[in-house]
Amino acid sequence: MKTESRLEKVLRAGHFAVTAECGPPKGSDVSVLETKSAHLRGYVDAVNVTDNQTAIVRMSSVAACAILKGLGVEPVLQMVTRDRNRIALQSDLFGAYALGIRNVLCLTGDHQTFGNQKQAVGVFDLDSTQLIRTVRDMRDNGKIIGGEDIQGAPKMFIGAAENPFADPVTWRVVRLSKKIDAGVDFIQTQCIFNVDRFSEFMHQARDMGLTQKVSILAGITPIKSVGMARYMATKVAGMDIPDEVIARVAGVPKDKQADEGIRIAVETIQKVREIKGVAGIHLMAIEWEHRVPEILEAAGLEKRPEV
Amino acid sequence: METNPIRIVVYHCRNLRLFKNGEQKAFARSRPGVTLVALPCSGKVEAHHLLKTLAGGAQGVLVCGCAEAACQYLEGSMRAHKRVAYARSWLRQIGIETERLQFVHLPPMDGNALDEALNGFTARLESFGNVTSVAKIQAG
Amino acid sequence: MIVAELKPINEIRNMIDRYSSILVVGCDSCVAECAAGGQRETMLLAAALKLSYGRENKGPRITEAWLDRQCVDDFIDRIADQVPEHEAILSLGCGAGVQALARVYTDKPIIPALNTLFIGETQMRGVWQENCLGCGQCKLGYFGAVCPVTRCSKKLMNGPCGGSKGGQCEVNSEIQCGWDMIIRRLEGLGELDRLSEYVPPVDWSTSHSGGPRRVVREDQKP
Repeated sequence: MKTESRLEKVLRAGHFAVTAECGPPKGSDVSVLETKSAHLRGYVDAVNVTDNQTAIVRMSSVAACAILKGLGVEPVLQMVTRDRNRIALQSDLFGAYALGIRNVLCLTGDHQTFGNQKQAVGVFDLDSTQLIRTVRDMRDNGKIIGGEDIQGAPKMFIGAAENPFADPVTWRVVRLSKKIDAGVDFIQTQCIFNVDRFSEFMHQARDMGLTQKVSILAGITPIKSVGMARYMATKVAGMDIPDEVIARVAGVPKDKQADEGIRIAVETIQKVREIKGVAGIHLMAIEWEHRVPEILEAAGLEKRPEV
Repeated sequence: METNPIRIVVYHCRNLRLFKNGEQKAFARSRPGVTLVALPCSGKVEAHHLLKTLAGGAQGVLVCGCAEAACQYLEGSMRAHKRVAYARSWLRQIGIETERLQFVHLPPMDGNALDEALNGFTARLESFGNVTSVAKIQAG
Repeated sequence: MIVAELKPINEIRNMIDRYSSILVVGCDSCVAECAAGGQRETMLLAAALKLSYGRENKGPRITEAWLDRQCVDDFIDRIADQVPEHEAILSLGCGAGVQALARVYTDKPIIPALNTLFIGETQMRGVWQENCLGCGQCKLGYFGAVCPVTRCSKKLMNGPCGGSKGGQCEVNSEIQCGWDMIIRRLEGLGELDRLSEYVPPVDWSTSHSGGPRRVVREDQKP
């Protein structure tokens, strides 16, 4: 074991892991976290806390992670390189570990023009691959960038995101292997609707021996409505939602579409479980955390292992 | 009461041959306020000429070019047309009527066509009032 | 070259309204190339200002002039006779030109007529593209002569982000994904292997981040 992370323990023991996601409030209202964590506690192995996702100002991920930990949920600290330079990022890693956080997901982050502070400078001192390497060097060598020794090195279980459907497609597996070389332990993919294409991606990953080196968790997002499906298909970069899926949701009355979306999510979970090399799922039911238990129950994943 | 004639400068392409021998002077006499400037091609006109002409006291500038297919220099009249549009964008920024700058394609050797174009243009300019001659202000 | 754009005229007016005589100075280098501040644009702006003031019956004295380059001391001297006759200078130079004029004509307000934007290339008449931001650590040879610092909206060094779609950047569809360009170019050159190596964090200390930069060459001094 490289760390004290529960997620690492679950994966090393060979269990099919389940992670979920939680967006912090657009302010200091802790009750939002209390409500969300109440739905997820006990049903998942770890919960990602987003870091000013879509460049919208929210409570800091480190703070929200610490709060979730206090509420009995294992957090995954999402860290974007958009807002902080290497001094602040390394500093936050020290602090996060001191507050009991054991998992970090290294991301670049959506460009600031997407959010509610469009005039802000985008820092991007590091990219996600460099951040992965930084976290790994902290853990395995006890050093910061530049080689100075650390007083109490953080030992984080390191994650990254991968989008099997983004362009250029041929490059995706190469990029993944670069992140693995940099030190990534687990990957969470962008949400999957086109299982065949994901299966092809996993095939390539297996061929390159990557599934032996990294745990890949398949991203799952339940569709709430046909409007949401169409929006994701057309407006969100790197999404592949097959027409059959949209048609399926469109084919039921509006008040039944959410349930159909949940059914599709459960089916997708069952299909990806069959793909060799998939180590778990990452369930992104943003602002829909209360439906996570039923999705996992329907997929037979609600009982989390003792580790 | 004598009203001052509207001051218009006409940049016309020589290749239109709008005036037969001697006719240009007669035309100018019949239209006080109009200044005729013959050019080797309407494409010789640039945007700064147009604005300077207005700043120098003209109330309107009319650029006459050959039909695009007939331009002897191939793209001259097309460029002149674009430059009038570009110069208009400057007028738009300073709140001066963009129609003070006008480009027309004229058929060759047709003084009547010029006459008609000028009549329409003059009427339009009359409704705008004066562009104060800044040259006057600077001098006084 | 440096690419700039003309400021809105009412913004220029607000800055120069207090002066009774203005010397409008253009530059015939970069800003002439991008049709923002060359001879033509200087004449256009001077005429436009005269018309604009004329509408309000105001008449500051406006004179036009232009220099080959506004950022080079030898050239700047060429308006030395005209400067004392004016209360202020309105410069159509890039930011470098405006400030160079201020360094030489210490007693005159120098007002910028342009917004200076970037270092870039003329791709064709009327189209200018940013392609360098002066990081001081040129690595273009490793990226197929496409700059990941400038052409990638996030300055990524190890490959594209998840937002790259159809060769376009997630920020807006008019921006080409820099990494898509890098990969295609290296593929075409048969040098894709250059991208498999890890690129460590950039040394930003040689960029503007390290402070305003200065180059001194003793061998070039008179």
